[in-house]
Amino acid sequence: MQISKSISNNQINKSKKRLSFIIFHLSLIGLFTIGLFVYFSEAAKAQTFSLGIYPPLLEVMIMPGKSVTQDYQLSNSGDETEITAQIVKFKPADELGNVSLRGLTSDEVRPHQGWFSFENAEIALGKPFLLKTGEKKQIILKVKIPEETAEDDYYFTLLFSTQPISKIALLGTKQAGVIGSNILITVSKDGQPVKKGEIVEFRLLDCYFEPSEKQGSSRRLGSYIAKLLPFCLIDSFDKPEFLLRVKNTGRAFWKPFGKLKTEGLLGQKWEQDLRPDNILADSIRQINLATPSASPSFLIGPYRASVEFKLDEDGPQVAAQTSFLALPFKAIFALLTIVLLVVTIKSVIKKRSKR
Amino acid sequence: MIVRSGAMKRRSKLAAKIVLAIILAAQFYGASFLSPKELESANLTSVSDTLSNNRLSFRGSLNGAVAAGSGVIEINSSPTLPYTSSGSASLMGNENVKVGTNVPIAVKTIDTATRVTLASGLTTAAASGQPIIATVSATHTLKFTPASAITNGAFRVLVQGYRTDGGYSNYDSGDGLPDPNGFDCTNGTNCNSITVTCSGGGSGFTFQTGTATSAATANISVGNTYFHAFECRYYGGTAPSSEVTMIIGTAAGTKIINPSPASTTRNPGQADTYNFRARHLYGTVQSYATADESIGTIGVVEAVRVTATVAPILTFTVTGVAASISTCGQTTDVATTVNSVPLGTLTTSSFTDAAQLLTVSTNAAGGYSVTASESAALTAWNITGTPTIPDTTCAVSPCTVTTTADWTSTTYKGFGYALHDINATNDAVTDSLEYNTGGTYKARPFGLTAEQIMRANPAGPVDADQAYVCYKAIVSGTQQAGDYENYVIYIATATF
Repeated sequence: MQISKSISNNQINKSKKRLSFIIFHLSLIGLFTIGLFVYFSEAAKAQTFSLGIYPPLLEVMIMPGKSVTQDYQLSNSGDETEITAQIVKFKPADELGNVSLRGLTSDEVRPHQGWFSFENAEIALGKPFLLKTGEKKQIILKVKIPEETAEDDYYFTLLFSTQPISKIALLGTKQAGVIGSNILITVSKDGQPVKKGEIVEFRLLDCYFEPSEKQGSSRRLGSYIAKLLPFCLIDSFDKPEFLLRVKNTGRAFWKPFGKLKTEGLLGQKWEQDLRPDNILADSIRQINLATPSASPSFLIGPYRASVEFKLDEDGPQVAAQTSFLALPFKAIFALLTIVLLVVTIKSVIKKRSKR
Repeated sequence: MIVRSGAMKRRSKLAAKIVLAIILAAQFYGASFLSPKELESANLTSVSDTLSNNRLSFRGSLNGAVAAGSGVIEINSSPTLPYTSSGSASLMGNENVKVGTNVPIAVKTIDTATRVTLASGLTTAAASGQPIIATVSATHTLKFTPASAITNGAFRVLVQGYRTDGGYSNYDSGDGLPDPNGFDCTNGTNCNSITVTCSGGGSGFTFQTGTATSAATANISVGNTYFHAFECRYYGGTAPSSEVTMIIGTAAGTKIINPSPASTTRNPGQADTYNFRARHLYGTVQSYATADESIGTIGVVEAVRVTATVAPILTFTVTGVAASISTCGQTTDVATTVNSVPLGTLTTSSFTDAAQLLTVSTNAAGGYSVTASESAALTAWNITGTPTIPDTTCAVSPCTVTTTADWTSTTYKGFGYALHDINATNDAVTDSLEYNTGGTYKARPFGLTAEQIMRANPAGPVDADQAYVCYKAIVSGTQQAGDYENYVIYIATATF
């Protein structure tokens, strides 16, 4: 009985030892796993995607059958990452110079891929290459225009996208950072493509009683008054801001070089340079001003604003003008309110004193 | 009859002798007033003349005629006096240059060592040999400390107008054109348009309005050098005793014009030096005499044109955000990395929030744009039927990939995002897309096509535009268990 008891005690002890051995090792494995998790979690927190590209815009005029090379500098200030170069077409996304990329998804066609190649041996379109932390890589892009290419404008974006090197496979949403440089190509046999353009709209913004398509009784009243007035009305203390929309009606992009001049009947005048942004073929762009308004702080009377620019520095000239009237509405309204208030108070006092 | 004694007689004689001696002594003393001894001359101390701009002016001539309408000018590399500027190195971009009789036109580009292109064409044609002038004017700030105590005196500073030796002559140092042999007055005969003000020196006296006199009128010369004179008189019972400051020429158009190069054969960086004289005067207004004088040196040097090109560049950064950080008015539940947003186990009753930080910098003239799109809805690719977590509809009036709606109710399930603009000065996220414009969490789903989420506003260069992209997800009770994933693609491009 005692023997059997001691045997069973031995077995129990052995079981206990085995159990504690298993628990110990499981604990070690658990700690190691947690350690790994913590280590990699902390490491991941410091990760950054940070790419810089130079130049962000390339403008090329080229003859069919010719080629051109361009140096790009791609710098990586973030973590080591695999980069893939792609060329996609773009078209203007809006009137502000933003791009709408075409061919990003696999089912979209990417035309003219054969025009582009890299002089760097290790880089090819769609082939990933490694970019280390802090590395600045010179990438030489060669653009070769086939002989039979039609004279026209072709717009592309050179994209460099990340292929993140994942340390731990994590589910959820994954990100791909992409940086792009736009390429504007004008294919021309003689280097003198026809440049055509027109001013689609030139008017003062924030007029009182301007025509509006929006709903509302006040806006309807404003639209009605606007139809009666031959010009725009602004307050004397407001800074006049203009909307200038320009359309490229030709087949080659150009930049507007010119000024916006404003002149008042009382001799006040000022001018601003137009910012020479690219107007792509068959598109409209809102033109910004390169210099801030130097308008006087107080405007009074009728003014005439005229805009005049050339399509590129040597192209044809385009012009338009608009008129507006500046009156101190706010000041007059404030004065009338004060007068009305004083008259009302006086009459109230008078009535009370009569009683 | 009064009879004087011998003692009395002796006393009278002594008294007479003393009176006579006093009279004689007084006569000698008085005679000294008739021919006063001149003051001992000393130097003014701590004398300096600081120019607000010590660049040389430009006075060259045309090498070849320039037709009206043309803005390209060729500078004569071997001009003769009074023209001494022989190359474009001392001109600067945007500096106004007068060619022939034309009004000054800004320099647009410096093409070669002798060729310059102006911002616009000449109105009037200019023949070969006609002048090319670019004046550089400076305010002279003189400081000096008097050595002698002189009441009711004056301070006079002499600045070289011209010299007639060394092959030079008087090229009219008051015609507003730079000369190779001295400083010129700005656009005024007799230099009288130049302002002169004095201050300091202590108390007990008052400075009068200063005067400026051209070298031609002042006619003050030392050897073959003739000087412009700048003078401050003072009145009061006390003499100036501490440092005096004289400022010559303050406003534009009333400053002294710096000389053009002294000769065509000069090394780059070699200064032309000119002496100036600071004098302390005493006596009457009509006939001031010099009590003290100090001589200083002014160095005028060729400009060193520094050019640097800043290449346009676009930089785009995506950074993970830790858990428990407040973004978009929410506290993040999970930490994100640069390339993953591990939303973890999603619940049916509460939102799971996460965020990433996007940063864009560019010096491109038109600014930048960042777009976002997703590869597909969150999808469990390893489950038969590839179930998806739907893109959010946000609210009863649903949000779309282009419009936001306030997503605060857990009734609306799915995956979406909001934007939190953190720029202090500009507006990288359009107001209508900002998480708190007209709501508390204005969200929308990612689309398969790229939608703009950030842009430069106003369009132009930006330094570190930043915005949080806040991710939010919640699932319904019937959502099939599994691991869901998708890709969100952020594209940064400069505007064209």
